[in-house]
Amino acid sequence: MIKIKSLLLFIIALLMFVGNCQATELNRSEANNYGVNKKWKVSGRNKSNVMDTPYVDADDKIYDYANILTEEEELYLKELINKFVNKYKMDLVIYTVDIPYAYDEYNETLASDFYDYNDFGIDYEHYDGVVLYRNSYDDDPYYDMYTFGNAQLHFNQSIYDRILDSIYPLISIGQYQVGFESWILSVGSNVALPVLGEYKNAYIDKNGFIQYKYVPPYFIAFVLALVSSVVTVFVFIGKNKMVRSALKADTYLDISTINYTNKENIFVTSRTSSYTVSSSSGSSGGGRSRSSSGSSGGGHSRGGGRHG
Amino acid sequence: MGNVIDIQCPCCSAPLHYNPKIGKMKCEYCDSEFSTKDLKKISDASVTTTSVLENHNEDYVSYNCPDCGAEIIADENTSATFCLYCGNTAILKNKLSGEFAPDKIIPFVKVKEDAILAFKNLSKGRPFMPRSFNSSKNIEKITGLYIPFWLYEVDVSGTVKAEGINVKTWTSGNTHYTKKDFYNLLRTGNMVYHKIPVDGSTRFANDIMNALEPFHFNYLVDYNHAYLSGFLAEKYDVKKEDAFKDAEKRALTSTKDVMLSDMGSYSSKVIKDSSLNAQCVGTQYVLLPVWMVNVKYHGKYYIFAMNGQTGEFIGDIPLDIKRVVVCFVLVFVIVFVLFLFVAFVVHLMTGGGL
Repeated sequence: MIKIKSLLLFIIALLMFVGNCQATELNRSEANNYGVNKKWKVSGRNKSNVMDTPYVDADDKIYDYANILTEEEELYLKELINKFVNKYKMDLVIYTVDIPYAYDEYNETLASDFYDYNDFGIDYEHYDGVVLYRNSYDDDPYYDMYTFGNAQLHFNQSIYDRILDSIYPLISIGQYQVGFESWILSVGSNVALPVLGEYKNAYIDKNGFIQYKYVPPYFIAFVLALVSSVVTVFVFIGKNKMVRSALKADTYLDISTINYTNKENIFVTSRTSSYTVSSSSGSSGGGRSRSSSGSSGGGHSRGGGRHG
Repeated sequence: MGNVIDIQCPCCSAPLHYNPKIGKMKCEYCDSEFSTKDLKKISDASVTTTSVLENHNEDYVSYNCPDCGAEIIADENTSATFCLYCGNTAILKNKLSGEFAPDKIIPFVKVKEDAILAFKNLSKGRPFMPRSFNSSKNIEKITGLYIPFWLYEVDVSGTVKAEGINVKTWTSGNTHYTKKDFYNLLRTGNMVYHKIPVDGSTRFANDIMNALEPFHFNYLVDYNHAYLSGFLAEKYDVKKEDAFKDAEKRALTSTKDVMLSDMGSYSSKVIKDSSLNAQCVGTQYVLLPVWMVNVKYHGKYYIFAMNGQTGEFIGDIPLDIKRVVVCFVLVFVIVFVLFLFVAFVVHLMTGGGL
């Protein structure tokens, strides 16, 4: 009996320990719409993605499936994230996995599905938030960040690059806590700033994509109207000026008298010049900020994965 | 002493004038018509040559009308004019003989009414013309005038050297290539220009006379005093050697163009050197018909001219600044609004939101 009690206590203690190390995971079923916000439609197209996505409590914020953080580190970072969320009213998620690297878009789908199918996002209209995703690339870490909702309007490619490049040296040597803390602070400093100038006329639509408000092209219209007016006026003014000096005598040339005694068309030389059209390559990471969607169909932006 | 030719009707002795409509001399009193050939046959009866006393002054020469004896005052270069009192044509023979005898003449085809009509039609296609400018009441004077021209036969010979460049571009992979092939081009030869006209009178602006071209020189006829009857005429005061410079310049420019054009098709062609020589191989002194229309509008004088053969009407028309401004603003607003509208429609059609 004592043995059984000890065994039960041990199992409970073990479960509690695992529970502390791993984020709380729930079950997806038809009854709870597979744990997905009604905003997303679960169909044959994305059902497998939904079911493959861990179902977690969105309040946990740190989901360390790769086991790279200690409990203390998680608690420390969680506290920073909570402060961030309260201050900026924007969600912040750290999601680590250890799934063999396939390609950037595969990781992107995993990260965005994780965000969308777990109902992250503080603003329940646009689900604003930022995810730091970590996977592995051979023996090196792979990581990328994704922005959702209005968070997209605070980042562009150079900001993504700056943030990801600044934390990579820390993450690559296993300094995850420091690296993630740096990331949280960097994200916070950018979110605290007004929306980027390039997104001045942008807004987030109901599916989370960046849309641009229609701004009439006044300047182009002005220039075109000005050029048209000037040309028209000059054409009509030209009609009032009929007196012109004659500079040529083409009319009086007798074509039959044209006689050439020597004609030469001699090839002299040839010169070839070239230039390379620049294109981005992501051999060691870096990519382009772009708006895209995961299996949910919701919009988000990504920074461009980094790996060793 | 000078000779004044007075062409009179063989039937009634009234003044005979050349009528461009019928291409004959017509008496306005007895309606008799005479061709220049007819008139030549009876020239003794119809053409009166009177010796009159010339009074030379620095600015003018005066004659006495052989018909009424009134004083006719003419410019040194005037070779045909009218008597202000009896209306008779006075052709000053000594201004049209010897070195001043024209070789050929193109008789008037267009009449005074054609010039008035052309002036009235100036408003067509010219929205910036002041509304009342082409009113016939603004016409101060219309004068049918034979203007002296030199016609040059020009033989241009020599060489033109140019550089031709063919440019080809293509992209392979992510590299963009531009290939330029350079050619030395050369043409040596000669060509002849027939009857390049140059205004032989300093009284008329060269650009106005240039703008009246072309005249159809296949209608040139032998000079006959009879054609001047009813019109004014001038004698040249620019020597043919001096006037040739204009013809030479035009012939050389055209020859360069012709030779360059013959060099073939290249992306670009630039003349690097040319040694062309224009030689005058023939000259004719001719009188060409021009209607001069003097217009006075708002205190300013404007000169228009009409080719008396083809009807080409030229002259600079004043601008109605108010109309210019209205047109500018109107076009600006229409284009501005239209562009914004089209841009908005395109935005909606390409899925853009508001």
